[in-house]
Amino acid sequence: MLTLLVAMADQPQDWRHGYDLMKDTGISSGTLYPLLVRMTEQGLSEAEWREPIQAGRPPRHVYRLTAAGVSLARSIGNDRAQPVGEMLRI
Amino acid sequence: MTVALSRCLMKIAIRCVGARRRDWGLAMQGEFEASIADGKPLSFALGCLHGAWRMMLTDPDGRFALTSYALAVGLILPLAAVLTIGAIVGFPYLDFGHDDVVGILSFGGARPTLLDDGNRAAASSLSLAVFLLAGASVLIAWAILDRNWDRVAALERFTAAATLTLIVFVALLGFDETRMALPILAFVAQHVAILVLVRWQWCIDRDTANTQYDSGYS
Repeated sequence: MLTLLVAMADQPQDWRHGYDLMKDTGISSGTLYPLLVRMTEQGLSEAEWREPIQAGRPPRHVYRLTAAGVSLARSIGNDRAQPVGEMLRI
Repeated sequence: MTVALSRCLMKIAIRCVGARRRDWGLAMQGEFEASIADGKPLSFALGCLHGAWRMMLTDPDGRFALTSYALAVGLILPLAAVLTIGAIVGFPYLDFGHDDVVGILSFGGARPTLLDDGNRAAASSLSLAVFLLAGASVLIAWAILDRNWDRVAALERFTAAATLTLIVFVALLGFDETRMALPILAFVAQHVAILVLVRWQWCIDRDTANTQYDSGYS
């Protein structure tokens, strides 16, 4: 969860697609979605539906951290005395 | 071919996610198109299927579904198979003496029948009752997986009536009543398991309703 939290905290205002998060973090879809479900249920992230850009495609879910999620990511970053971006390389 | 196979896997994954987390299944479906564009649909679909199974295990509704399948496939259908074999080999009116299972299943040689000339006509009715019990068990398994509890209750009543009829016939014909232990045990085991499942389903429905009520007023 830490890797995902940190990746989403890099640009906390931006809504991200699940597939982009997979590619950024290297987490497989089988791990990503249970994590996103858990983070959303714990109030750390939020999700929204977006209409497809191309016609005929299904709508897509986008995600971003809530204030609680950003706060948790920052507190973890402070605890480790490392910038959030560097934690990705741990 | 790979895309078609991946689409099938995605459909299974979305089914496994369940109704409570339907949005998450649709979210996976939405990203699946991105994985096709990226040329990795199969690994994405396999991952989603794996994730859906993991979510199923953490979700009460998913655990209920898995338990229902385990009950249907692990208990009720084997009981139905045993009853079917019993009906085929002449349960409860042929005398197998002290035969073991292999001896009972070997069809060579005539078995002594427990019926006499006066009640020989009962053989077909007894076999029919055992076949009906086996058939009802298969339908009960199906209804459990459909969560159609009204149909389960109706089939249970039918099974109870058929078992009782068998007991009465066996008693009237003067057979050894211990041979009815299997159908009675099967009925009791099935009934207890179904009662536990129904109560569990009721608890899940109550919790879901409470959650929806709380989220509606928060």
